[in-house]
Amino acid sequence: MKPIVTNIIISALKGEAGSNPEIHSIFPNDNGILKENIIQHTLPTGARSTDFFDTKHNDQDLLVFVSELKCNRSRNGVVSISFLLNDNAEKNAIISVLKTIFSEFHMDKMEKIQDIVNLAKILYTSLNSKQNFQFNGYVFDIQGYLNSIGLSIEKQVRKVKGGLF
Amino acid sequence: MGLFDRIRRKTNLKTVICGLDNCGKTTIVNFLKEGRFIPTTPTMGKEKQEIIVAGTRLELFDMGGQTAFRSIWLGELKDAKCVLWVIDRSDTKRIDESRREFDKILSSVEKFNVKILIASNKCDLPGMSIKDVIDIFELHKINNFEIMECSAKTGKGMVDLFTKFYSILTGKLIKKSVVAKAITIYDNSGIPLVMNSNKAQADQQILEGGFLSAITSFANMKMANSNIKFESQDNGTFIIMRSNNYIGALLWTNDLDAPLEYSEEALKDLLDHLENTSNGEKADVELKFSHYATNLM
Repeated sequence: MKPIVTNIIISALKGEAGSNPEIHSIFPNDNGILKENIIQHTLPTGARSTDFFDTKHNDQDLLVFVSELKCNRSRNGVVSISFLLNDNAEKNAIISVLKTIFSEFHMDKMEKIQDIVNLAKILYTSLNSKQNFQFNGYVFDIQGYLNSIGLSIEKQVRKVKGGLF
Repeated sequence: MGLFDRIRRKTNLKTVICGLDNCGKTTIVNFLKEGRFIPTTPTMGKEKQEIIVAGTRLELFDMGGQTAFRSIWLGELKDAKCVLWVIDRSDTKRIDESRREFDKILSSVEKFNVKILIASNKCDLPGMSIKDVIDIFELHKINNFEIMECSAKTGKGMVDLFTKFYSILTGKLIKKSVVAKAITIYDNSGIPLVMNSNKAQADQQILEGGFLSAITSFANMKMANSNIKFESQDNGTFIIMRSNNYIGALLWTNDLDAPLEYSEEALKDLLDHLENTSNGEKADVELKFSHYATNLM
């Protein structure tokens, strides 16, 4: 079965003076994606905390959520978490799920990029297996939420009885 | 090309704001736009902001300062009228890096005849003097530059910076508005923390005397973010406003440049500014207030 989310990319710019964008891909299948492309897509010009971008990368949908990153020194940084979707993904349902999770789960309270990478790994598994999302004591029932809004995160294939096709 | 595009081209007042990361570029832009300090996060790439002053639209291109974004600075210079180069005067360790980056844009600045305004930011912290900066950057070799000290955190020198910046862009002078005869800041229980008056001692006595009891009554009302206004025949109009941790009182009179609504807005900005910048201790409030008040009186 095809995964719904093919990759999650985390781009972070810490608040410390002299820091540069740091990029993490939680899925190894990113050989064809250039670093410059990732920065351009996932840390778009003028990105600010709580921004959301719905864009494309190589004809694949890319959902980018921007948040603040707590830093100990200097000022806070900015971090984006981007979801590269497969063609079988129902984009609007996934946007709705992620927006709900991010509004309830405060990513901006996280201090380490590694924590966000760990969060992304769990999100990747939860979305692709449609299981509950559980992280640091927070639980989100993905399937229950989708049932309540009448959507599925996977495109439904309509079966037609009879006919040639 | 449409007519509107032609007008836009003719009235191009584009400013590119450059400098190392964490030197305060976005904080300066936010202060110019909002009139108070707003905490920021690093700028990704670049961000365009617009300010309309006296019917003139000013375009501010706030450029990301991280090394990954510095290559895009030059591309913005060719149609700019002014470069605002921001220096963190307290960061002596990175001043040479700032100088090296400054040198990289100089040839483009000369080629496109762009004016340079240097903001020596963070003057609320110990750091380099203007003379030090001129020496390190060898500014005496450049014809077309201005340099000013400011603090986008406390607000010191921000109006002066803006008036200079405006006159470079438009060739016109803009006058600083005086919005209050006197401003006093109290803590939430009505105890005076700091006072500023541009008139004689008498005004201060008014504020310290009978007026204080009115403030104390107001403080006891405990209404969150409430504000009141009352007119005194002898003195003028008092605006009293509350934020989470402070009460601000502003005395406005007819002969001031600013209309009453503008002064009300200014008092609100001042309280927001103190909420964002001050730790609430009297000495700190005094410092932050004295820097900010230079913009109001």
